[in-house]
Amino acid sequence: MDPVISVDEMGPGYELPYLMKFVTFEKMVQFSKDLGNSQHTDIEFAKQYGRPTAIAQGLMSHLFLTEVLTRAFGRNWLEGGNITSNFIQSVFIGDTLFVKAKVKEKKAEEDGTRLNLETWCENQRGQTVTAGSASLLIRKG
Amino acid sequence: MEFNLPLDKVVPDEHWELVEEFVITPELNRRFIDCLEDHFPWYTDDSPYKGPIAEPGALHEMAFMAMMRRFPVAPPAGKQSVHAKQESQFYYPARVGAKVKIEVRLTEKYVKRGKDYILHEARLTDEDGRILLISRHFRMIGERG
Repeated sequence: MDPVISVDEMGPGYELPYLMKFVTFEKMVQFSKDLGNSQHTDIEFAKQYGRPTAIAQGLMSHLFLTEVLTRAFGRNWLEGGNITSNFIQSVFIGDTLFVKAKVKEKKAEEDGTRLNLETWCENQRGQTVTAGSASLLIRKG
Repeated sequence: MEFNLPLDKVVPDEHWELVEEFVITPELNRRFIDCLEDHFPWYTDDSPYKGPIAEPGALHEMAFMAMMRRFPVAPPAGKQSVHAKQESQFYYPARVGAKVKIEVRLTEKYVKRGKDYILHEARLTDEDGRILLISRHFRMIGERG
């Protein structure tokens, strides 16, 4: 399977196929269990810190975004991609995230074409919970 | 886990310190495939890397835990630390079965808009010394709630 989308089809404004992720308590615990009791794995613990319930580790939404990029760009992403995510709002048990990326800039470089992208996750209320950027080189050949 | 390193004792240092090694077992990989619902076929079937590769969550969470164990920074009373920002530089995927080394460092401690921040970094390499991933983890120490 070669997941690479042709870079010729992409220009500024091009949106990659998005993902929808359902965040359950079971998945949060499975992801964060090495931490022991924490705001990510224990609802009562989270309440002590003023949260209404447990919150997902920020890394989860960061990794959802990397999945979008891996599916779109394959090796070009896995061998040189970089991504920055700012965690703006908490992700709670039961949230649904819409995981998105859009091309901001496309420019020719000696070894290929560089794509700079805007990346973000929205929850089911339309709030942006994670936002950032990514960059990769689509190598020639 | 216990967070017992006072923030005022933290001294940033550029030196990488080898702290942990782990093997990407099929079970570890499966854990992150399942909890992230990331069923990209290269993580379980063949891939251009001659076999399955690690779902990136496995590398990131192992790196995160190594950073927390080495630098268990405790927020001052009444405050909490939160993961405010994450940067990841992907160099090469890790194959399932690979032994991975984790080096860490805490390179910055600063104040921004009245809040304390620290920057931890982890560098992951395979048996051949090839860099797989650099993970940069910014924590903000702020008020609870």
